Amino acid sequence: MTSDLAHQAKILHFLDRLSNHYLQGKIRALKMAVIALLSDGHLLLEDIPGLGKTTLALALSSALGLSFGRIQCTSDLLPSDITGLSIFDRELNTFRFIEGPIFNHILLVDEINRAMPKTQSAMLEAMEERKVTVEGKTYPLPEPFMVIATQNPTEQIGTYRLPESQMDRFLITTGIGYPPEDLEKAIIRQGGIRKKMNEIEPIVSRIEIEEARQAVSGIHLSDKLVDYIFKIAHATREHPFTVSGISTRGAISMASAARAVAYLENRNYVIPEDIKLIASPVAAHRLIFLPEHESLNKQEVLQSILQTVPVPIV
Amino acid sequence: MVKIKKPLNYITYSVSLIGASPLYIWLNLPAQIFLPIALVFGFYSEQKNRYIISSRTATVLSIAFFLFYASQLSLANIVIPVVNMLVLLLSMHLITEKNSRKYLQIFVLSLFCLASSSVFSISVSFFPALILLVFGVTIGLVLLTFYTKEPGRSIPAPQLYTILKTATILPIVSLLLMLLFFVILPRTEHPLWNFLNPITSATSGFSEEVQPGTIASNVAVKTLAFRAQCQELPPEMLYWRGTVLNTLNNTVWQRADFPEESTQVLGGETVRCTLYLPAKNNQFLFTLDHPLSLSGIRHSASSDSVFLASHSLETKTGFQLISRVGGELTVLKPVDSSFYLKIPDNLSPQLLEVAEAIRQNSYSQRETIALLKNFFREQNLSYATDDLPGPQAPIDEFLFTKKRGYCEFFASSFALLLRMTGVPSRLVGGYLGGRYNNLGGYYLITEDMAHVWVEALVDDQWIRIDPTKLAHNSSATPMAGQRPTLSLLQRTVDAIDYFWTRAVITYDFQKQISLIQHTGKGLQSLQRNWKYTVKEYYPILWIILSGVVIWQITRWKTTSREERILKRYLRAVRRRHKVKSIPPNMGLNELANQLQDPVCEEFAHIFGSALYSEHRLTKGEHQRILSLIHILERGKKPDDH
Repeated sequence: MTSDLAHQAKILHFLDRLSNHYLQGKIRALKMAVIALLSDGHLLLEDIPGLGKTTLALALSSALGLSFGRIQCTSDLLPSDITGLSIFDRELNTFRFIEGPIFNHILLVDEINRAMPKTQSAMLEAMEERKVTVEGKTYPLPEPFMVIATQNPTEQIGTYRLPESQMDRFLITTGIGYPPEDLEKAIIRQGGIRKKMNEIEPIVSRIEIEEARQAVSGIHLSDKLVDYIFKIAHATREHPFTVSGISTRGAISMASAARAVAYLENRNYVIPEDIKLIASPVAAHRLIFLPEHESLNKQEVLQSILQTVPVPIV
Repeated sequence: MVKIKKPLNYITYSVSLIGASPLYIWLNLPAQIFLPIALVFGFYSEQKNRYIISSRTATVLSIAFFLFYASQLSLANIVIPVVNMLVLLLSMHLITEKNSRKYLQIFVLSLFCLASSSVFSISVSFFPALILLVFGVTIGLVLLTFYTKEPGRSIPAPQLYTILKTATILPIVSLLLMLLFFVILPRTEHPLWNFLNPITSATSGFSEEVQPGTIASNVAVKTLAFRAQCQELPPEMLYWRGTVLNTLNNTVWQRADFPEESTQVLGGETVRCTLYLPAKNNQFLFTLDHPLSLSGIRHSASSDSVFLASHSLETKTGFQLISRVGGELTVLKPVDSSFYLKIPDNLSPQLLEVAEAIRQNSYSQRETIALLKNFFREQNLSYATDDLPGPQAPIDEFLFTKKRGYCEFFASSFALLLRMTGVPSRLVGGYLGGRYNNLGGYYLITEDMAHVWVEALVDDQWIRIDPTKLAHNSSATPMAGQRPTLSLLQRTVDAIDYFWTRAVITYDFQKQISLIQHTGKGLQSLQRNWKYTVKEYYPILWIILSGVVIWQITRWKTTSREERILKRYLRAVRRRHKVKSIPPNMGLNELANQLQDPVCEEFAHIFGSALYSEHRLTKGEHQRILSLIHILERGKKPDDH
C-alpha cells in the first residue's frame, strides 16, 4: 500500500480527534468539510438552526490553527461589511483600508440566504476569484481560504434563495442531521461544547495543509474514471427531470473531491466508490429540475441516476 | 408488528386443507397417510423454521412419485394416478421450505385437487369448499405479493387488517360477477346476440319436401352442409342419406308415417365415419348410404334408415357412423307395397299412356325399370338449373315439352312412373359427392351438393336408382363427381375450421390419449433411427464444432487478461454467495463490503489498485488474485465458518 501521501496520517488523526472529542455525531459533515478544504473548495451546510453548524466551523478553524471570521447575514448587510472599507486616517492624511471578515482563512457565513443578492454575489465572487477589489485596489485573500456558509432550508420568509448559478460555486452541500439518540442525550446532559472549543489545540499547521493539498491534487485519476464522471454528468443532463445537469465545473469538482476521498483513504489513486461517495454532496445541488419536478429531492434523484451508470470495473 | 409469512402460512395450510380434504377418501393409502403428515409437520416446521426434508430430497421424491404414478397411467386408469400425484406433490410442497413460487404452486395444486374431487362425486360440500378456496387463494395471492417483495417483512397489525379487508373485497366482487356470467348467461338457449337473427333453414340445398316446379331457377349456394371424416371413397359411392319421402300428394313428395318394415343391410364395405354438423334448425342426421348404426348423439332411427336427432341441432355437433358402402337394403319381411304404389288421381293422359306402354311390354319389375330408363334416355332430357318447368304440370312439362330440370324433376318423375307401372318406390333426399380435403382427411359437403334419388323395392331389396344420371348431359353435371377442387388456401382455411370444431367443440378425450401414445411411439422410432441418421449429420456437426472453437478463440484473443480474471471472479462470487446477478452500478469494493467477505475485499484491493492506478498486475499480484479466486471457487459455504 502506498503511504507516501503527505501528512495523510496527521489529517486522519485530526479527523479522529475532532470527531471523537468535540464533534460527536458530526463525522460525516466534518469529513465533507475536510474534503472541501483539501480540494480547495467551499462548503454549504443546509440544515435547520441548532444542529451545530457554527460549532463545526469553529472547531475546524481552531484545530487547523487558522484564522476564523464570521458574518451573520441580514437583509441590510452591505458588501462592504464583508470585504471591508477605506477609512480616512487623519494622522496620516490618507485613506486606510480596513479588512473585512472575508480576510480570514475560514469564513463562516451564517444564513447566507438572508443577505441581499447584491451582497451575496459580492461574496461569491470573492470566493471564486480569491481576491477582493475595493476602490480600484485589489487585495488577495489568504491561502488557504474556505467559506463555510449555512442556509436554513425551511424558513423562506425574508430570504433570498441562492440562485442555482451561485450554488454551483460551492464544492459540497451537505446537511448535519440530528445526532444519534444516545449522543443527543449526552449532549443534553452536558450542555454544549462551546466552552471546550477554546481548549482545542491546533493539530495541523497551515503549511501541512498546503502540502496535503498538493498531495491530493497529485492523486491519480484513471481515464476510466474520467469517463465514469463524464457519464454521470452526461446522464444528469439527459435525465427527463432536469433542465440542466452537472456543469463542467461540477464535473471538475467531483474529480477533485474524489481525489480528496482517496487521500483520506490513504490511496494514491481514485476508485469508483470514491466518486459514488461524493457524487451526491458534490453534484446534487447543481441539478436544476423542470418546474413540475421541483419538489423532488435532488439527492434522491442523483442517487437514482447513479444507479443507471455502470461502474467501470474492467 | 406481524410477520407477513405468518398469515400467509395460515392461509396456505387452510387452502390446501380445503382443497385436498374432499378428495381424501378417494386417495390411495400412501397419499392418505402422507397428506395429514405433511400438513401437520409442514405447519410445525414453518413455526420452528426447521424443515424435516430438504428441498433437494423433496425434488427427488417428487420425481419418483411422478414416475411411479405415470407408469400406472393408462386410458382405463387415468384419474386415480393423476389425483394421487397431485396430492403427493401438494404434500411435498407443504412439508418443505417454501419460496414465493412454491406458495403459488400450493395454491394451484389445491385448486386442482378440489376440481378433481368433482370427478368422483359432486357433494353439497363442493360449493362452499370452492367459495372458501376462492377466498383463501385470493387473499393468499395478495399476501404473496408482499412476501415476494420482501420475504422477511413485518407489517403493523392494523395495516395487515386493512390489507386483509381489501383483499376480501376481490373474491366477493368476483363471486358476484361469476354469478352473473356463469350462472345467468349460459341459461339462455341461444348465444345472447343471436336473438337478433334466428337461424333460418337453408332456402336452397337440402329440404324436407320435394315439389318440382315451384321455382323457376335454382341457384345452389356453397355453404357448408357438413363435414365427414373418413377414408377417401370412389365418388359414385358418396350418397349421403338424409330423409326418405314416401308419399306423393299431388305434385309434392313428403314424408309420412309408413308401414313398419324390418330391413337389413347386406354386403358392401364397412366404412367408419365421423360427421360434424354445423348449427342448423332441423334434426336430420346425415349418413353415408347405407347406414348401419350411429353413436355419439341422442337420436331415433326409422326402419327406412332415416336418423333424426332427439333435439334440434342448434349447436355444432359431431357423431360417429358405421356404414356399408355398396350394400343392399334388404327387406326381411314382406312390405305393404300398396303404400309405395299410391299415386294421385289427376294424372295427365300423356303420362298414363307412357306408363301403360311400359307396363304392357315388361314381364318383371327389373325389366320395367330398364324400360323406364330407356324411356328417359329417349326423351333426351337435360340437366339444368334454370328455365325450369312451371308449377302447373311440372312432370309433364319436364318429360314432354321443356325436357330440362334438375335432380328433383328427374327423381320425382321417375318415382311417379315407377309407381304407375307397379314398382313400389320412394324418394331419398340428401347429398351426393363431397370434396376431399387431404389436409384434414375429411369430406367437405356443401349445400350445392344436395341431391334427390329414387329407391325402388324389387325382389325384397330397395335398389338405389339415380335418374339424374339419365340426363344426356349427365357427365357434365356437377352430380357426376367432377367438381372443381378447392384451392389450397380454401382447403387450409376449411381444415383449420374443421380442427377447431373437432378439438374444441366436440372435444374427444380418446383422441388426446391416442395422440400422446402416438407421440411416444414417434420418439421411440426416432431413437432407433438415431445411429443411422447421425452419420449424415457429421459434416454439419463439424461445421458447428469448428465454429464454436473459432468463436471461443476470437473471444479469448479480444478479451484482456484482466477481463478474463474479472469474469472468473464474478462468477465465483455469484456462485459462492448465491448472488443472482451483480448490478453493473456496483463497484468492486462496494461489492466486497456488502458481502463482508475478506477474500473479496483483498481481491478488490489488489485488482482495483492495478486497474485504477493503471499499472499491470505484477506477477505476485496475479498469483495472489488467482489463489483468491481459487479460494472462492473451492471454498466452503460462507455460513460454515
